[in-house]
Parts: sequence; C-alpha cells; structure tokens
Amino acid sequence: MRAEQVQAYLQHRMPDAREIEVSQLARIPGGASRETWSFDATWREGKARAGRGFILRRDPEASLLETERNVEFRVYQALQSTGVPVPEVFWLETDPRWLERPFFVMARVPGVTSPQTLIGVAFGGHHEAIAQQKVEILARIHALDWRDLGLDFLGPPDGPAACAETEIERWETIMRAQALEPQPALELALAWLRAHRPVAPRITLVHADYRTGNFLVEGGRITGVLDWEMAHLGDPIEDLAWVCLRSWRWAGDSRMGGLLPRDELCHRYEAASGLRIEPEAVRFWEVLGNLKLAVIFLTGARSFCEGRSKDAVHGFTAHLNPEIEAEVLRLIA
Amino acid sequence: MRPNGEEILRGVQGALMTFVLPELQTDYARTELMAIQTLLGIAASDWDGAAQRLVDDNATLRDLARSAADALASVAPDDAFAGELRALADETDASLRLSDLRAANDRLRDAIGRLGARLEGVGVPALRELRAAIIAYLRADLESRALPLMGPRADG
Repeated sequence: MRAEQVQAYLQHRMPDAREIEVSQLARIPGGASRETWSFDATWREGKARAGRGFILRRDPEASLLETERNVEFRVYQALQSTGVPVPEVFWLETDPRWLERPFFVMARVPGVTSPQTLIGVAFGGHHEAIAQQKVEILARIHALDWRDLGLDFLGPPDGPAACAETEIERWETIMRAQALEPQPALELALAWLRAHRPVAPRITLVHADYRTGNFLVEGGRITGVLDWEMAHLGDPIEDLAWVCLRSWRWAGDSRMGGLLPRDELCHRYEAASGLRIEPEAVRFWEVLGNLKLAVIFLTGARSFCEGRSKDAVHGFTAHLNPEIEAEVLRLIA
Repeated sequence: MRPNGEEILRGVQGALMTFVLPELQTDYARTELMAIQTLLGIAASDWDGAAQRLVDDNATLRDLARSAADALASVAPDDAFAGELRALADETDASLRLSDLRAANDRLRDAIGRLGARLEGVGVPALRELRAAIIAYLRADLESRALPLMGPRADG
C-alpha cells in the first residue's frame, strides 16, 4: 500500500479538502482477520490546515479468520455514543480500484494495546483502574439494547437456550472446512460441549474477542475497545470466559488477562452486570473459547499451507494448538 | 551430504538475524522476520526425529485401538466400530516415508477422535475407562508437542 493511493482515496471521500498529504503510513503487526494500517493526513479546509490520525483496516489476501468487514464497521457505527469507548468510523469501501481489496477507515485513538506493556512496570500504577474499567465496559456492552441500536442484523439465536448450540455449530463448521488433518482432541471437545450446553442468562451483544490486547489504554483510562470482527448476539458469559483463557494470562500467573484473579473478576462482573455467574457455564464457554482459538489457528495454517497467505505468523500459530488442546482436555476430563 | 536439512535451516536462521534483521525499517517487517525465525526453528527441531516420532505414535495408537476394540466388543459384540478399530490396530508401517507414516497416523487419529466423541457421557465403567485412556493418551501427546508459551499460568 502506498501513501499516494491513500491520498487519492481521501480526495475521493473529502472532495472539499485541498492539498491532502498522507504521511507515516505503516502496517501494525497483529490482527487476526484483516490488515491494520496507521497513517497521518493533513489537508486544507478553506484557509485553515486540518489533520488527524487514521487507522485503515483492509481485507488480507488470506487470514486467520474469514469475517465480514461490514459486521465490524456497522458494530463500530452502532456503538458511537453508547458509553462503550470505540473509535469513530468514517468510510467502508468495497471497490477494489482504490487499495486492491475492501477496507474501512476509522479514527486513530490514542493509547497502547500491547499486553506486555500494559501489565508491565510502566502501567503498574494503573492496573487496578484498568482492571475495573475492563469489567465495567464489558458489563456495559452486555447491557446495551441491541435492538434499539439496530444490531439485530447480527441475527439473534432462537432464544437463550440456543446461544450455546449456535456457537458450537459456527465453530464446528469452520473446523470441518479448514482442518488439514484429524483433530481428535477437538472432536472430544465438541461432544462434551453438546452434552453441557448452558442456557444464557439473556441474549446480549457479545464482543467475542474481549481480552487484554484488544483495547487501548492511555494513562489509567481505556480509550477504545477494538477488534469487533467476531461480534455477534449470544450469551454474555462467552465474553467473561474468553477473558479467562490461559492464553491471555500475560503476567505468567493465574491472573485473568494479567489483571485479576478469577474469583475477583467474576465478583466484579456480577456487581457491574447484575448477572449471577454459574461456574459450570464459565467452564463451558472456556472450553468453547479454546476450541474457537484452535480453529482460528487451523484456518491460518490452511491458508499458509495452501500458499494463500505469505504471512509466517499464520504458519506459526497452529503450533500453539497442542498447548490449547491440552487445556481443552484438562477442562473436560 | 553436509550441511544437512537441520544445519541448513539453522544456518539460514543465523544469516537472517545477522544480515537481514538490522536492515529492516518497520516494526511489521521485524515481527514477520521473528515469526519466520520461529518457523525455521520448529522445522529444524523436527528434522531428525520426525519419522521416529510417527513410528512410535502409530504403535501407541494401534495399542489403544486394540484395547478400544476389546472394550467395545465386551459391551456390544456386534459393534462394527470394534471391527474397524481392530483392522486399524492390525496395520503395519511398511514404509518410512513421512507421507506414508502420516497417512496411517491420520487414519488412527481420525478413528480415536470419533471413538472419543462417541464415549461422551457413557455410563458403562469399561467405556468410561476407555474414554479416560483416550484423554490421557491425547494429553500426553499434546503436552510433548506443546510450545511452552502459556508458561506457569496455573488456574487460580
């Protein structure tokens, strides 16, 4: 991607802007399903010079996960002014003439996402504040009236009892399509999940990748919740359990997301959401979360092995699966 | 012929770190190079023992398939799955080509996975023990192959 291409697109979208200049265009590492690029732009509006930082999320040639870009874009749009901190979104573009593949553009929000940085010494004085906000924002997401926000396009499950089966089917379908070799541990997990389906306390918006690393922090404040590409309607406990996955215990100890012990996380979430947490429901969604993570990595492995992805990260991530699958078996034994 | 596969991969790793990494200008490129380094390291570590690991694993899986066939037959003598498992247990590795060993391994793992799923929630003690044996085998195998990235993250 070249700065001139981005500049031409901005001119197309901002016809009244003059002397548009794009600088600091750089791809940001990470991102499961689309490329993330950061750039600065300045332009003349009348006699004044204006400018801001942007983030551009472009569909990759192949990814860890095939997701609909319009889902993420529309969720970001719907969440503006809801109290859930999200970046302002500007344009969704499907015409490949601009940047070869579809993309959308949103505001760059100040803050740090790196889990290692957030749990490190530099943020040491803010851990308590970050942990509390993380819980409160999650409860706020789950309290939103998704019908009022126009999020029913996400397709609600057929009632609280159907949330679990909907997600089992979603990830089993992807697994059957993407796995390059037999997956005995995941087969056992699927059977266990079908035998232990909980009923959701209610149907809510589910972020579905709510972990330390997917929100921006500046000082002691969470400034933006990112990566909504897997968002759907379902069981809020799915998000709580995702927070608990061992893969996100960045501090190398038993704190969930490197921030809070499990009991403390659950107590704070109960207080913030008014929901009662059933440990068996959390266990169900932890098993499903680990299965989902393994399936995402299998998808990346397939795109790497078939040559659709040149990203070495996609070749590497499947090698994380033995540890994830061992965790699944520990949970269901 | 030297350098052999493992030595080539290790050499390429060294060359990338020495000559390429210092020239890279962006965080993204450096991150990608580190992922390439990790992949090369995985391939190099796998090089020497790959065939032996599959031979050993196939032998273990055939023992498990044979035990499973006996357990199933003890509960339901006409169970067709028992016959399938016994046939798999009677296979032998006639070739040391990785593709042949892997194909046999896939057949065995596919059957063990289907069997494990079928045993979910069974009440018969012999079958409950069989499910526990399958999980024990899978956990031992997975833990032997795991990159220890989760670290000491014991549940609290």
